[in-house]
Amino acid sequence: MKKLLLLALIFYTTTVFSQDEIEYTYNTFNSSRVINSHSTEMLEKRTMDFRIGHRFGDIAGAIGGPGTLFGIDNSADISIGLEYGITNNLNFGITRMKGAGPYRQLYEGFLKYKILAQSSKTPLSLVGLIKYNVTSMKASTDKTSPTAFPDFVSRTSGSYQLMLARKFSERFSMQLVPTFVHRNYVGFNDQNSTLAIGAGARFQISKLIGVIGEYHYIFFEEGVQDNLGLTNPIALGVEFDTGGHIFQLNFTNSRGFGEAQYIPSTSSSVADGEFRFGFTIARIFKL
Amino acid sequence: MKLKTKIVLISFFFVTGCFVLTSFVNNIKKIESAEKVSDILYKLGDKMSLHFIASNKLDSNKVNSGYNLVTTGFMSPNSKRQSKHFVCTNCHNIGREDPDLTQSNPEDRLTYVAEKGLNFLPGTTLFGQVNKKQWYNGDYYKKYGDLVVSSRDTLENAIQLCATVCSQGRVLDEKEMDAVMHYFNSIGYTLKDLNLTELEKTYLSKSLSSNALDEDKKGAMKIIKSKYLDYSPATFMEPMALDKRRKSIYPNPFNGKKIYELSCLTCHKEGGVTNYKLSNEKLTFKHLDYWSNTHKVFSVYDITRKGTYSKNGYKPYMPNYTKERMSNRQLEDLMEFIRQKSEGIKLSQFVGTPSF
Repeated sequence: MKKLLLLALIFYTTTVFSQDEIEYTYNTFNSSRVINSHSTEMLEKRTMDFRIGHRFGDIAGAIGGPGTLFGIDNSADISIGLEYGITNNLNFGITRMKGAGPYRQLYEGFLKYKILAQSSKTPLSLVGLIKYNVTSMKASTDKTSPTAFPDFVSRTSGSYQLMLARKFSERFSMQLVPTFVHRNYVGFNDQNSTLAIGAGARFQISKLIGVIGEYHYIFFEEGVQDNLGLTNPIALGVEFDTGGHIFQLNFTNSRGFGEAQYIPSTSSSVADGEFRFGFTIARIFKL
Repeated sequence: MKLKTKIVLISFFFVTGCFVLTSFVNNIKKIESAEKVSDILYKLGDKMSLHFIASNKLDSNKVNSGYNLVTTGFMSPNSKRQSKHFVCTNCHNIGREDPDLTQSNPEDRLTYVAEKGLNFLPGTTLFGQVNKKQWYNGDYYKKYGDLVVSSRDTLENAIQLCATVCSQGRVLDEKEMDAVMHYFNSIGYTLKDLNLTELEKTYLSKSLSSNALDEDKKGAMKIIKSKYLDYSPATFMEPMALDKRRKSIYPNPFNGKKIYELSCLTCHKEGGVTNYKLSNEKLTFKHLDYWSNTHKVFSVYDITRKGTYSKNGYKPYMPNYTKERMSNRQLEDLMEFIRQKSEGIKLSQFVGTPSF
């Protein structure tokens, strides 16, 4: 009986002790984005992230090759945005994008909340993201166009994501990203709501350099993919963390930034050389 | 003379003698070990600095406000943040950090702060700053030029220089400065910090009595002032030459671990004040070990001695460690810790004949 009590006491003390010793896992990813999609990384409280992104034209294929310096002459999409850490677990951001799909001149706002943080007690990080997009482009006079915009609501779209990530070792991290995108106004044969499941990963070569990649599988409604020639977005890149700056150089078949663009509107095929070089520069400021 | 008369007379003289003796003894004020050194110097007739506030004049609300400003950057929840980059305690402790106040020895300091749960920081502790007579001493002129001239003999000016240049924040307003002064005076040296001998204490007590001679008072002041440095020496050092690095005999990685945790990680940990994060991961140590053989910005040898400078677009900068805040020996201990961690081996100190 005494031994049992002693064991119970040891177990209790160990439990209490380990409760006090929670070690959180940091730097699952280097930046708040893997490549196209958000990562589970959050901005710290009172920190601002200024981000500039660029996607060039097709490297090969019909409009690529040496004539356009492998796409450098063309710009598929450009984004410029500011993000801010309200708390360590709640971020918001606004971004302006040129737009690469049917919708141009896009404004995007998001709220991102960290629900779970990976630690010695929790095996995974879980982050939720809500985005809202609105286009300011001039409405088309063609009533059959997806950009006819009969009212304001038809200019808007939203996307909802959950990011479930784990840092397996100091070098390797991975996340799963179920995404739901809803566009209020789409063209004929397109779908308003799109569901996708994505995966992103990072392999850290050194403290400053990492290889990143991601892929999203889209659940298209019957006939939509064939009618519109849509493909699943894939991206591969390298990132450099210089301590304050994050430089991401990447190759991707998606033309546009933001879930409302790259999830339902990617139509480039890597096999046909329709992938492009892109980069993102992120600069973090303390406010 | 009758026996009774004798007893009465003896009793009278004994009582009178005791009374006279007690009066004399009462005149020697007993000093309390918690008494502030500044207060004692003031009582001894020393010329006090502009920042001196006697303990009985300290306002507890102002002391608290000053503490809040120093540790959080805000004097009160509704006040404006002093700096968006740093708070005072990022670079300065607020507790005692030297076992012997007459020395500025980084090796003794590391052991002391590690025992006391304090950090090992590039700036002098704020504890006892009111007892100093000079600030931004020695080679700080090399870094800040004429900016230090008005700060060298006035604590208020030194604080404003630190607030605006070192922490890249705003000037403290009158109320804030007043609060900081009250707080600083509340953490001035006390008598027990000086480790006085019993004889010195008795002499000090005697010197504080109302009928003490001026010479005794001067002597007491001299004794007190000999027990602490009234300035923080600052000697800048050049980064070690590449061929001189890792030549220390028996570097102590356990000391290096203390420095890494109490110094480097203070600012470079996750959630710390800088964007350049360090951790206890092997990749971090490999990175630091690799760059230490260069004169580049990631070299621990170089960044420790040179620090960084404020620049357009990114104002906060890392202060340099002077010789008095980190010795070359300690730098080697730190690098040995980094090397062993980068190789993933269990920390051990080499004991034997060095191979170089």
